[in-house]
Amino acid sequence: MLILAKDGPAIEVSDLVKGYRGSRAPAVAGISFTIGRGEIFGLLGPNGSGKTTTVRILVTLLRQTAGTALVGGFDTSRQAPRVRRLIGYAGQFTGVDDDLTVRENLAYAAMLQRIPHNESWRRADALIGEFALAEVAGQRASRLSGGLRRRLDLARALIHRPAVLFLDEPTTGLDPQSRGALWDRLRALAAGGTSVLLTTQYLEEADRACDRIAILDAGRIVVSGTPADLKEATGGGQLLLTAPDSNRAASLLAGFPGVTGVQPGDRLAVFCRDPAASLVPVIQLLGSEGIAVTAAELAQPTLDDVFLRYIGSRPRPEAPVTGAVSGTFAVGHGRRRAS
Amino acid sequence: MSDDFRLPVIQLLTVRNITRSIRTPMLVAISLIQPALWLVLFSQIFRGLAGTTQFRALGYGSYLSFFLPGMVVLSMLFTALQSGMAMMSDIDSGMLDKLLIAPVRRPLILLARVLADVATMTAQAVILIVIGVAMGARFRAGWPGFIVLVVFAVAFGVAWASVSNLIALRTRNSELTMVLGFFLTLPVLFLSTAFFPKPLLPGWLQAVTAANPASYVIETGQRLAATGNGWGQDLRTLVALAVTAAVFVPLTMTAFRASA
Repeated sequence: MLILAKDGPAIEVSDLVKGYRGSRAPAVAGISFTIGRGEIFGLLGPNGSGKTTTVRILVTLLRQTAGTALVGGFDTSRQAPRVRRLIGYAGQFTGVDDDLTVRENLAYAAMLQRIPHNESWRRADALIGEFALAEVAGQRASRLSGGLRRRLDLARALIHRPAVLFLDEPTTGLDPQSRGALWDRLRALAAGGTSVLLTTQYLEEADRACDRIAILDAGRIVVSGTPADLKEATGGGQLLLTAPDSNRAASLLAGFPGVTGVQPGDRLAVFCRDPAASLVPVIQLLGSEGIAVTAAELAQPTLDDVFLRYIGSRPRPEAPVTGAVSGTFAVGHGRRRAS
Repeated sequence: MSDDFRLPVIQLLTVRNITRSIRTPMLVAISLIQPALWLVLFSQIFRGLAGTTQFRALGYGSYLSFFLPGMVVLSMLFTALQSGMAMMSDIDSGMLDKLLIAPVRRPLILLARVLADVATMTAQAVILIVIGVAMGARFRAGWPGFIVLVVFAVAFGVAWASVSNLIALRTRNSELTMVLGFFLTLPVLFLSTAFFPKPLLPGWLQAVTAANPASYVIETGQRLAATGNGWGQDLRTLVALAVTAAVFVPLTMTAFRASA
């Protein structure tokens, strides 16, 4: 583990702005956030909201127009070489060397990080095991499927055990099993003090994996916090009840303790701060008024609801750039630059 | 091997660039096949020219001997084009990003590109000369003449590779890099003394060749074939190559720095 500059946070971004020539609105329009050591932080947002631009500034591939970005206490624009010693990065579009084998790709990445020759090969072999790449270890990367390329790229980002890890849409193109393994791995790394900044379009994943998230829209952070806090702030979950006379039931429930709103319909929607706790009292109240509830469904708030509230639409995961299935057959890899 | 052995970064980067050529030998072969075929074809087509008194008076033993330097330079032009394509491929694949954020000094990334090009180009020039000699080409300057030709040709190739890399870094478009590269390649060859000795070219074309760095290298090779080494010719070629490099290398380095 590399040592960070001071005891400060792993990442400190203040009033960061990035404008591209020829476009009127800046891609990043003044964002600030801090990521602590051992914290997994998720940047969420619709396409074009500035996630990738933010990550590329932090990994020293782009220069900001204004504001500061510190990684491990070092300024990403003025102390880029120091920052580069601390970070691991897997971009939105996998960067592996097509002419090298899987094993060579990993060892080469380690050697570039100035890890001794023998140790580089040892680490390559260890990661091949962890990322279930043994079957293709001797194959050239150009022949890998999209999912396997992604796994190789992620392993590559970890080989020098970076203190701060940047993963731009790391699960795009991964099968569910590999996703689960990746989250477990990130959890373990975070427990060991590694800080992780990731972007994703998969909200349920962000919910499970991230300690804190920030939702970006049009280059601004619209809301940030722990997934639990954000979900609670939407006003809680819902009870969906099937009952006769939905209008009378709605008027009975309005103002009932714990209920924040009601919406009559085919199924009566009862908005509650804590739907699980309100379920029984609500059914009892309606029963005492002669309304028999025949079916009840509990809907806990999800990050989807948070997204819906702040962005106005649900995110659509981007179509995977490489093949979505993992397998031994090769798929074409139409790789394009992020813009 | 001791446990703290590390390969120097420049060696790591260069070997990776060469690995590409070794593992995809077609890339090298294509840059060789075309000039080799032209060597066979044109030495037949222009065999008659070599018999004219005008051509004989210039000192060439055969059209093949006269034509060989032009084909060595053509092979350098093709490999220079591939250098820019390889840069584009690294940009497209995200590999360049990976190199840029590794703790590697930036100029080393370009230097490794140059070293790999030098290795490939030297191998190609030597192979073409061997083919030429096997076909019957002779240089009056003998084998030192071949060495001088290889050195100048590779130096030109590296300077021209910087043009190709400049196009790649500025356009960031592999199609454009290829099309623009090809667009430039043949005029560079045709606007030189590759096919006809300078005294036999029309006046305007003689003037144009004076502004074409490739033509200096070709003329030097042809002189080595016809009458032997001429220090004045060597010096002019050196200056032409230095000017070309002085113009394009800084532009390419600036474009590279601007890429991150």
